[in-house]
Amino acid sequence: MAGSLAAQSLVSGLLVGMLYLLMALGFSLVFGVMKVVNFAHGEFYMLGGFGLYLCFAWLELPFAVSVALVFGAAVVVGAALEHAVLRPFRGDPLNGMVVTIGLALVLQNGALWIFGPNPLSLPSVVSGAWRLGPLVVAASRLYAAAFSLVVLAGFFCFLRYSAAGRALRAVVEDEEIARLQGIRAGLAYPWGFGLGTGLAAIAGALMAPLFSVSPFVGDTPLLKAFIVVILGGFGSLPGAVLGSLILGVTDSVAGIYLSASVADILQFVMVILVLIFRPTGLLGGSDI
Amino acid sequence: MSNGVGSRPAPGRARQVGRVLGVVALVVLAALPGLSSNSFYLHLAILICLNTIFACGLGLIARAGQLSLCHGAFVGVGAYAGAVLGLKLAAPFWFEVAAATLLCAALAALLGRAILGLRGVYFTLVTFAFGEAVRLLLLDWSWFSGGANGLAGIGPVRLGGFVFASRFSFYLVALLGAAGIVLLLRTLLRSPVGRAFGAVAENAALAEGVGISARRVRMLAFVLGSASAGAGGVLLAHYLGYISPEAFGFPLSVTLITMVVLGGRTSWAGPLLGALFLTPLPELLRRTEELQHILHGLILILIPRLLPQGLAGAVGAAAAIANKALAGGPAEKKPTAQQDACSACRGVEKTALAPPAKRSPAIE
Amino acid sequence: MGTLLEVRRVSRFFGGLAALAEVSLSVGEGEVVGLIGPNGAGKTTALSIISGFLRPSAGSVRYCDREIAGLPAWQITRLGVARTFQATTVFAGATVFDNLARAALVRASYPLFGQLVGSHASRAVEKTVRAKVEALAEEFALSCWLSRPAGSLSYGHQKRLGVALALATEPQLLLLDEPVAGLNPQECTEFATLLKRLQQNRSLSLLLVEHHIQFVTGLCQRVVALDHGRKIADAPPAELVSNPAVVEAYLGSEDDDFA
Ligand SMILES: Nc1ncnc2c1ncn2[C@@H]1O[C@H](COP(=O)(O)OP(=O)(O)OP(=O)(O)O)[C@@H](O)[C@H]1O
Ligand SMILES: [Mg+2]
Repeated sequence: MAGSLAAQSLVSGLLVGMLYLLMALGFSLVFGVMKVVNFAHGEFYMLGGFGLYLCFAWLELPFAVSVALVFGAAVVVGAALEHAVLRPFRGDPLNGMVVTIGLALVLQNGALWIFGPNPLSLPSVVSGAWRLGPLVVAASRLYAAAFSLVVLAGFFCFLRYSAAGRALRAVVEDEEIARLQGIRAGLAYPWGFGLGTGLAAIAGALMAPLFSVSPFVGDTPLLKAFIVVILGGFGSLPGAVLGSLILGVTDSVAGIYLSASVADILQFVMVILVLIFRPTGLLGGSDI
Repeated sequence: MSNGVGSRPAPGRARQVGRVLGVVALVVLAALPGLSSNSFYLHLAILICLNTIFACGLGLIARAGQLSLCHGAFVGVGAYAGAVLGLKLAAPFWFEVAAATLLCAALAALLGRAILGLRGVYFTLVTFAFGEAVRLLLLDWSWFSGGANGLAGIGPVRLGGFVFASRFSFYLVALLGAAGIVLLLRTLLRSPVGRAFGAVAENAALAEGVGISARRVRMLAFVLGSASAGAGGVLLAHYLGYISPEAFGFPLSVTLITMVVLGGRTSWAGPLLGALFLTPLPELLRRTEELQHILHGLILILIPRLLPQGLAGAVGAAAAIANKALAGGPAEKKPTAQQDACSACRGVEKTALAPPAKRSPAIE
Repeated sequence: MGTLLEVRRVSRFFGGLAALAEVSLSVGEGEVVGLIGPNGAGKTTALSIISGFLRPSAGSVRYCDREIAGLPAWQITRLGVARTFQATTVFAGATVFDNLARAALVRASYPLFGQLVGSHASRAVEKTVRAKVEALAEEFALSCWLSRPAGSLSYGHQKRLGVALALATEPQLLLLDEPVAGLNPQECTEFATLLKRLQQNRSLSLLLVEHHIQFVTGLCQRVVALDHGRKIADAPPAELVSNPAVVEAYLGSEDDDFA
């Protein structure tokens, strides 16, 4: 029985890891392009949840359409915010961080002002459960996981095969060289940021039907994205994959064997240790 | 905190304005309780004093070019250390302050040793993680901290047989603490060490090139700043009488950062001004807490762009402009005087750099 | 003439690329040595290793008979080796005065505790620093810009301030990375005169990286040439022109300068 419990939590850990990955990829992309730690990343997750609430529960659009709408809106809003708010601080990451902290405050408390503190719940997209031997997985979770898999695949194809995606990757690798190759790095900033916020918003939108939506839902995913990205290495996309799988699984497994607070503390201690001894993360380069 | 915050061109005037501003702020703080017999003003003045103490420490760290997101946690460590010593061991106040200061200094030194070699962004992230870890530990170690319930019944400040039980007597203690730390910040920033701080903040590589150890400077700033937060934390614990871990999380650090950003990161008067302006805000916007946070957010977004030197810098600059405009005639005269100096300089340039008789030996 | 700086078989790799491969060179007391080579030859890398901004992958750097390879840059500066940077490198936001004062700090002893309890000690330091800064500014013809932010100076003035910053640390050995790049011919000439005078007045030793061959040959007693991280020549300037390896390395772009 204990074995099947562990297997059960492993599966749900993988699902959770996928959602962490969505968050972490956007976060990592923004850091890779702009060298700025985006403290407002969790708020875009939160806004994604509210966006889905508006489209799916209120306007009663189909789920897929709602998610696509949320994504598009988040990309545009993100790019516009980068242009309006962060642009003066390119090349000044410390002030950039101060500004994203400010942005997070404004977004979260703006949402609080408008929507109030009470969680809104959404109708579920699908119901029922899926069984495989002793494993039971809620269909809604599976649905969210399948969706995020599609988004992840799309994102990787975009980075690998599209010209814009390759340009973005070149800027992440080395902005100077990218410039020399004729890539317009100036465009990479708003669109890289927009894409990052778009991924956060999708994660929020996919999670919204599973849990409820409130102005505070972004806090935990932001922390998880931090941890994933620190573990995997800043600006390293493969590192983000590894980091989120590790975190998703340890999260679920540790949840069984350790008290939640001990698990949380261990995570932070792990983060501090990794930052101190291997600041570029497990898969990051050696240059710091 | 930024790459561009070297000591601003501070001609005598602006410096004087800064001094006047700081003194005025201190006087306002001292006079606040006298405005009315309403104890609310006294309460406000005490909070401003405490925030000034915290913000000055953070300002010191910022002056060396670092952004610490665990400043609130150090306030918490100080508060808990003081409270536990007082409650469990009935330690005297001076001992509590000394112990909390030393504890925070030691923690900061340990953390700093490990991380100050890291680039700015990584440093900030470790401080963030450290702050969270401290909050979680305080929640978890209930044998020490009372867990989520916090610690209650912390008595008034006792010093040499005197009990600072009344609000007013506590206010005197807090005011003394705030004035002391502002003075300390001022002496430090205007000393040769302060110069080294500015150099490291503006361009650490160049600072190393001219013989300043960026690591040591940052360490000094981080240890002194965090230790002063710990000392302030003891005062806070005694004033509130009750502390709990949630009060010392990330939001407190952000509030303190907002004060430093608003007041100005390069002037000793900055943290004081920031505390003076932002502490009353929650009281004014009592019913709409989110509005207060939105205002903080807007400050963090707009001030770095509009007033990179914060209020202290802005007032100094405005005064310089006003001074020029008001001076009228004499102001017209000044540039010519400067031009004279420059033509003299050009003369020097001619004789020193290109003596007409001697051609450069570089040309064969 | 004793040897002040002795670089022995120093290599530095970036990934697979050997930016420096077993390079040896020396600078004697009071000697002016040039370091030339085409773009990417490893000149800046060599200066960075000597000044402690980079660690060598192998080899030793001895200064005054003391191993300094791997020491942090600020310590090497304190030992008396100062450098300038290829790009204009000044504290752009600070005034010229503050720039120089920051650099002059190294030679001022300032007790921290003395400063905290009273400002007498720091006032005394401030006084000596001020005097030193003013003298330096005079020497570099920067006196009238003292209260201007360094970033607002012209390119030429910033270059000059960069050298003044290095000199404010009172070095015995000065490493200059392309000090006249981007200056017009007249400024070049002025700079050469200034350097010559500084060098004589203070019995400085100089290691001078420069593409401007006339500038190098006019100032230096000896020139070391690098190409692809290897030393290809070490000779007095007059012999350099006839060195086939150097001519080969420079074939094309810099040929004219040799004519
Ligand atoms: N930090 C670094 N990382 C990777 N490669 C580097 C680094 N610094 C220098 N290099 C490489 O090492 C080689 C030597 O560079 P270096 O800057 O020393 O050349 P240089 O002689 O100063 O050239 P220039 O005349 O253009 O200044 C170059 O190929 C350069 O690309
Ligand atoms: Mg070079």
